[in-house]
Amino acid sequence: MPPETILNIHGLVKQFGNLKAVDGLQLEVKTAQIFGILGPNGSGKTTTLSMILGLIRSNQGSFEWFGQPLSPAILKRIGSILETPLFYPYLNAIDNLKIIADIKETTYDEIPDLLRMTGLYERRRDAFRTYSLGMKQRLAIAAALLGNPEVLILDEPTNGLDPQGIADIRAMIIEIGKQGKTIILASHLLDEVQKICTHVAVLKKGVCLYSGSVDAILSDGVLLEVSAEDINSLEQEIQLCAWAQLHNNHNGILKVQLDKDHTPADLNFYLIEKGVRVNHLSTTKKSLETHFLELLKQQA
Amino acid sequence: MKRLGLITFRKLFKSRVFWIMLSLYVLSLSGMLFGVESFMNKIAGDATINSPIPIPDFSLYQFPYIWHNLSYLAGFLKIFTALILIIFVAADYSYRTNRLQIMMGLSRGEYFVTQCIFVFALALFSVLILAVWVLIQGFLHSTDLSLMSITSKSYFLAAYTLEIIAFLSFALMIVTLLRRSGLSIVTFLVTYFVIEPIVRFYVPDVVAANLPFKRIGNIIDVPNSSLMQLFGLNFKTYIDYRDLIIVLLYTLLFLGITYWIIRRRNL
Repeated sequence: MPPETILNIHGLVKQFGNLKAVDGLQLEVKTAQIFGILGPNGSGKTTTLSMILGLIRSNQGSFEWFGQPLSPAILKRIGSILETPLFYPYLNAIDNLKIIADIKETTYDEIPDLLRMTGLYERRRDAFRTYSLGMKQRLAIAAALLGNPEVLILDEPTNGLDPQGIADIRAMIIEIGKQGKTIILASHLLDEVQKICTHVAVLKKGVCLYSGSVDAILSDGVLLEVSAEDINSLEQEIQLCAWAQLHNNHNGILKVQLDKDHTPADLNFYLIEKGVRVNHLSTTKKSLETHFLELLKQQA
Repeated sequence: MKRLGLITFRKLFKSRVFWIMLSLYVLSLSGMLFGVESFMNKIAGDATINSPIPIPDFSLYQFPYIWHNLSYLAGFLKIFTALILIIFVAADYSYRTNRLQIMMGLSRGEYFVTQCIFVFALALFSVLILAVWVLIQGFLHSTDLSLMSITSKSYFLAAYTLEIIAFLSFALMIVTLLRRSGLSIVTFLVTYFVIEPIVRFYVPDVVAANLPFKRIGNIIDVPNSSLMQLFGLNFKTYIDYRDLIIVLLYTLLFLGITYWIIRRRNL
C-alpha cells in the first residue's frame, strides 16, 4: 500500500508588501515521514507553517490536509509548535494543558503522562512564567501531543536551548517519530535535519530548491579526500580529469567530487596511469551542509 | 457552549490581577450602593443651612423606586467592567495565546464566542451585585413591602444589563481592533469622556441624541427624586423601548465588527 498523503501544497504564495515570503511553494508530505523544512532565517519556513495552520491567509495557491481543506476539526488532528512557546504565564502546566485539552475536545487523562514524558511532572504546579526556556519548549511539545495527533508540526524546536535541552528535544522527536507519527520540522540547523529527518525540502527566499529524501541527497555524488607526496602534479592531473571536480586544497589534502558513474577505484587507476602515487585516499559522505551551501550558491 | 465557557473561566480564575480588579469593583459598587443615601442626605442637610427653603430628607431605598435609583448609580461604575474586559482580552493578544488557541483547533467563531461569554459574565455579575443590594436595602428601608411594590420596577435590572452589555461590546470592539491594553484603555476613555461629548456638541440634535454612549446613558435616566422635583427638573422615570432598540442595534453592530475583525485577521 503506498503511503497516504498527509499534506499537499500547491503553488502557495504569500506576499508581505513588496516581499514575497513564500513564492509558489510545492510540497508533499506522506505518512510517517519526518519531513524537514530547511532554510536560512527569513526563507519563509514560519510563514509557510502559519499558512498551513490557518493563522495567515495565502495570496495564491492551496493546500490540503488528509485530502481536505483546513478546518478546526483537522487542526485537532495536528499538534503544532510555532516559534516561541505560547502559554498563559500565570497558569501552571496543568491548567495551561487543560485549556488546550478543552480546545481539542479531548480528556485530561493524558496530561500526567505527557508531563512525565516531557520531564515537567515535578514542576507541574508552578506557573509557566517560572519555567526555563527548555521547560517552556517541552511544555509546548506536551501541548502539541495532547489528543494524540497524527501529525506534529515543529518550528525551530531547539531554538535558544542549551546543548542538554537540544539533545532532550531531539531524542523526544525521534522517539515520537518511531511511534509512526508524521512530523514536519522546520529548522535552520542542517545538522538537526540530517540527524532527525527522513525527508527534506530546502527553502530559500520562499522558493523550494530541493525536495526529496535525506538519504538521496546524501548519496548523490561521492566526496573523496586525496593526497600525494607530489601534491602539485596531483592537483594538475585532477583538474585535467573530465569526471572529477576539485573542491579545495586543505593542508595538502584535496577534496574531490566524482561524477555519479565513476568510483574511487576509477580515480585511483587514472592517477596511477598518469604516474601520480597516491598516499591517501578516503571517501567521505557529503554532509547535508555541503549540499545545502551548494544549493544556495547555485541559486545565488 | 459549556466547553467555551470553561475555556474562558480557566483563563481567568487563577489570575491574581483578575481577582484584585473584580474585588475592587465589588467593593466600590457595594460602597456606593450602601452609602449613597446618607451621603445625599448629608449634602442636602448642609445645603439646607444656606437655603431659604428647607430641603426634605429623602430615601433612595424605598421600593419600588430603589430599582431605578440604584441601577442609575451602578451605571457610573460600569467603566470598571470595561477595564477588566480590555485588560484580559488584550492579554490574549500580548501573550499571543489567541494564536495558540486557533492553532490548536478553536475556530475563529468559537474564539469570538468565548469573548462574548466574558462580556455576558461581567454583565450578569454586575447585575447580581446590584440585585443583592437592591433587595437588602429595599427590605431594610421600605415601608410598603407588598409584592406589587417590591417587583413593580424591577425591569430596571434588565435595562441595566443591556446598558452594560452595550458598553462592554464597544470596549471589546476597541480592544480587538487595537490589541494593546494601554492603547485600548486610553482610546476607550477618550472616546467615552471626550470625543463623543465634543461630537455631540457639533452635530444636529437628532444625531447627537443617537450617538452610542448618549443612548446607552439614556436608557436609565436620572431618578426623579424629590430633590430634583424641587429644582423643577423632570426626568424620565420609565424605560423607553426606543432606547432599548437602538442600543441593542449598537450592541449587535459592535459585536459584528469584532467578529469580522477576528475572522479576517492574520495571526
